[in-house]
Amino acid sequence: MSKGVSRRNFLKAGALAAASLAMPNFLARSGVSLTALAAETPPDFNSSLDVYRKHWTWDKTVRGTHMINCWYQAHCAFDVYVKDGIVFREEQAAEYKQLRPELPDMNPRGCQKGCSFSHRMYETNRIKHPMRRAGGRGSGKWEQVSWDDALNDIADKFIDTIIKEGTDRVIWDLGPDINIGAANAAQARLAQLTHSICLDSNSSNGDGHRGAFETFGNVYMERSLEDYFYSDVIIIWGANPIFTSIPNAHFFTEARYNGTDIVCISPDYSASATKADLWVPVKPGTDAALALAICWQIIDGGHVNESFVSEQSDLPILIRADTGKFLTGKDLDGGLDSTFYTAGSDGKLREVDRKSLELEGYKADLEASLTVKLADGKEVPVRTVYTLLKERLSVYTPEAVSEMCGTAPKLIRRLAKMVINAKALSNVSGSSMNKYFHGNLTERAMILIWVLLGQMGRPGSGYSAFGFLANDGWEDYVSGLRIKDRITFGTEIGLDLMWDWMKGETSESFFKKLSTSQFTDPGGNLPIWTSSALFWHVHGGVSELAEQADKWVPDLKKPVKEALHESLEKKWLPLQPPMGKHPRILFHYCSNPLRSVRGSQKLTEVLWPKLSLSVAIDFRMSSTAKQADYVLPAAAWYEVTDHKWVTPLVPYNHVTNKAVEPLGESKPDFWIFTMLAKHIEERAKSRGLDVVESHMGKEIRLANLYQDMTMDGRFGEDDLDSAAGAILEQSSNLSHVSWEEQKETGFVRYNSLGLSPLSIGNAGDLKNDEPFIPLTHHIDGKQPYPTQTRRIQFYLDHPLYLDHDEHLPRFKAPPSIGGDYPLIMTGGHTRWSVHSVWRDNALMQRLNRGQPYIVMGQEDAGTRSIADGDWVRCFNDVGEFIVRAKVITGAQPGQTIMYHSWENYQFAGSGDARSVSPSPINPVELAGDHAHLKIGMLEGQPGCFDRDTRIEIEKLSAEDSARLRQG
Amino acid sequence: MVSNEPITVLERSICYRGLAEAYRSPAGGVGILDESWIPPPSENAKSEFLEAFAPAVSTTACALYQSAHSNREQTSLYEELIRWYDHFGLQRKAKAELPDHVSVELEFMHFLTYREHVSAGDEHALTTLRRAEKEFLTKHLHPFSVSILGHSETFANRYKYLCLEHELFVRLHLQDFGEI
Ligand code: SF4
Repeated sequence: MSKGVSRRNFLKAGALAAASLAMPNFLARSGVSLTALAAETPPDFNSSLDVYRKHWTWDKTVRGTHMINCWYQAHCAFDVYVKDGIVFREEQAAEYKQLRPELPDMNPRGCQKGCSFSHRMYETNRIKHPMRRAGGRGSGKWEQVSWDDALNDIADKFIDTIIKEGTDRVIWDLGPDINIGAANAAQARLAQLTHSICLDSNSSNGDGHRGAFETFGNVYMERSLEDYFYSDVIIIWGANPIFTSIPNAHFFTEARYNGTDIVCISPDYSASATKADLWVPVKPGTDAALALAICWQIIDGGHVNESFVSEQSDLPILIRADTGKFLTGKDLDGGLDSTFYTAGSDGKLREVDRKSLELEGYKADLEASLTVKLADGKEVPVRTVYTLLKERLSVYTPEAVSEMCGTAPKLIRRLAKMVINAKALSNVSGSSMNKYFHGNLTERAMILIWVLLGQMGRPGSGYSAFGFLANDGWEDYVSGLRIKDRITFGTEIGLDLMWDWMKGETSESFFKKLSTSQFTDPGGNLPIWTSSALFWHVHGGVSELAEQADKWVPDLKKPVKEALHESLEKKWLPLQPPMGKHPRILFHYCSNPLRSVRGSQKLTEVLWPKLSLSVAIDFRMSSTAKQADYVLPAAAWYEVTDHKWVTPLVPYNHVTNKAVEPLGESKPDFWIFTMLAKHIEERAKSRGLDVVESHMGKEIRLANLYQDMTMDGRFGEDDLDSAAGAILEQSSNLSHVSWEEQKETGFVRYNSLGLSPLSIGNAGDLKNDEPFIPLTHHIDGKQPYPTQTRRIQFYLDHPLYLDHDEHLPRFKAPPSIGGDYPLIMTGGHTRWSVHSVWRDNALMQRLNRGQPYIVMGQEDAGTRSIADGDWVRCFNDVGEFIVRAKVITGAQPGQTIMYHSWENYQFAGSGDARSVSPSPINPVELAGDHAHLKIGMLEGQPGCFDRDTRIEIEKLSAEDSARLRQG
Repeated sequence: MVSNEPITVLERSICYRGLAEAYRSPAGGVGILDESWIPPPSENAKSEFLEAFAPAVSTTACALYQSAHSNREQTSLYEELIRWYDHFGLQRKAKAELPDHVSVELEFMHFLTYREHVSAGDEHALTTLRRAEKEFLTKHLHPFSVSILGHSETFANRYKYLCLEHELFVRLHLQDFGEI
């Protein structure tokens, strides 16, 4: 009997009768039963110090990484330490081989975010059970449900929707964390088997590198990190790698041991600017003017690399003076409109070779100006792209440009001199420029510097745009590894491939074509994609926010909405489901659109009411999950075995191993998709359904869905490991090391770019012992580029570009998006977040202010009586949000910085940083029906912009501030 | 009905088990805990439970993990708790809750007190076990229970009472020890 506590009615009658040990969380370490353990003599215990006497040992360590979109800094191999089924810590593996004795090595790769994942995965907003909404959407009322209940209900709604309204009403909203590994392959396979639609998020992320796409027909071009050591001058432009590329940044700074100069061009004195030898401040959004000033210095000073531009670019190609279009074979003799011409110094025309860049001694006249007789007898003057460019650039003198961009003429000249004299010139790429409305013009102007100087394809030299490197077995897996799947793939795609090769097309062009076809009518059992930017604008109602765009953007030829509808009607850009057909089911996977989409306040207002079902698959409660109908708990990255894409910067496939069991009832994504297929099959059978027709007329075999999904049982819901291995075994660029070995080492170097449409554009030889240099297949191998002219192309004769005077690079001042307000709201990633997955991580929050803030310069803060830490209201014509002010000395007057990734619920009040960014579509980005301005995977889609958002900021009243402080 | 008879060790052990179950799921512990002590689940118990104890879905919810209530580093707390469990021969199951979840700490107390029950007559064992119980409650479960109670004001009836009675139960148990 115990003393003091009296026996109130604690226990139910009868509870004592069944008094036994019940311990669902424990077992006896010695292997005996718990009852037997309880009966043993207990160990001595004098104080809690006794529990510390035993030497601490780990049960195991495995190799792991983080399946997040670290993009340019992806990825890093870690040792993950496990005790009692819990991940306690991770440590950088640091075993990357040094390529050459003179080059810095990759070790140790990692960042503080990755180093805190063991903490992150156990934080309190981890989702451990399937949950169903128990109140209105976003009411915060949820109930835990079983997996069976959740999947049955979702399966029923899935079937109802595709039967009643079509398979294109089911949308897979895929975010940038998709891994091109087994998890994402399962999702894609389910999408292709049901002909439902996958969203390509790159466009709405604003990461499209539209300027590179317009110029190269391709955005994928990136070097490996070691190559920076051979650069003479590295320009950090549109990026802030000290924040966003933590494991990579030492390569840039270490290059200085080699005498390399680092230049940072940025409006603010950014973290990267502090590490530069030369900081060039520029007003936000005016970088194109600065780039064109350098170009003019190159041309005017006679520094153009004529042989390079004649061979590699469209600069010698002839343009008709009357139409502003390329002179074509069709014009001259009724031939092909894909035949273009240059002229020699003798005035003779020569066809541009579409199969090779090799000039074989021919010298085109870069400044040819002549009159040609057309097939209809008309005589028209023609001039080269170079001549037109030269005329256009002549206004970009340092003095004139200084007025546009705020950079001193002397500094512009100094920068131009450095660039011109560099033996090897490179850039550090980021995706900042794409987030300006005229970011495409800026990127074209930047690329022009490198091309005019012929600074490409050599060690340490070249322009980097968008990095991506992936296995090429993924598509194989998604389309199916059975004989019948192979036959479909072979007949629908393989024959096309052979035909293209017979016509002399490059494999790059073929896989680009394949990438485009996935947005229209994919053959070979591939999934159907649609541009997320278009989707959110049209179906999500975001375009409604931009109805005033004509007031904000000075030279629009027609209202943005009209231009958008025209492009969709002309089918320049495909959209699924088409305008007027409402999406009904949204699966959010690796995605968080209510946080990330500019103008996302429209989505819950316009799109959500149309949805019969919204399902978030995540391991944590994101802003989007909070508005979903179901939240399905996904396993965290140390709880699964899979692999992840990278970029050529770090050309190593990275593997994460299952270190521990998924927490609670959470399940690997692979399991979730496979089990959803199983439930759809079961529910279809119970309803007597066998086959339904997709919106494109394909047979959807509902009654065989699980069988097809698992490829006749080969890859069941618990076979994630073998599915991940099968993808690599199918890969031409990763099958040289066994899956078991890759799991053990955690990383393995790619042995080639492979054939994935996401990698092939890098167009270079990836070797085991050399830094990777992109585009050498073009520059050394003379393979043509996948553009209209088969050359690096600065002239775009598409009507939209001609109408907007953007047929050649030029500077356009940043528009006043959001209204006529004095401050420009720039942005970027911080070193503690990069994406929202880290934003509410307690450890990362401790390292910075831990709540949303807007950065402003001392002067702008002073004129508004704002002090550091004050609560402020930021507003414009479309919305507002409330944050704290962070006052710094390093911002330009008129510039504010709203670093991104804060979850909506981290803001005080109802608005968030996206509320003020209407992000109107830039009409030229709606172009289509063109040889290379057409949609493709992660490219050729309209972008989303927030960097030229105009706002005003005012200090909140003392009462409101006090209320928020308490809140 | 309140009885003045002192609670037995076995009864206390079963109470710990019942409380552990009550924190594990919306209707946990209903077969064990008397309804006059901890109210039965309402028909909205599933959502009320999440509103009370799932910070992922509710801003007013209280996390049931000790690390969320403590200034200690999460991993150092895990280590200490695992050492405690290990010292008494226990190992976490692969699919178990995290070691600092209140239901796990209550389950551990269920085990220690059960062990106390089966050790009746072995004074050395009883002293050892009671010392461990007192220390574990003092260092971990009691301050944790007080902190949980501090968040329970807005919870639905069952969960408000659960927090209240759980803290009281632990506090009374501590008072029971006196000098060991
Ligand atoms: S950069 Fe990415 S992969 Fe590397 S440690 Fe950080 S989060 Fe992990």
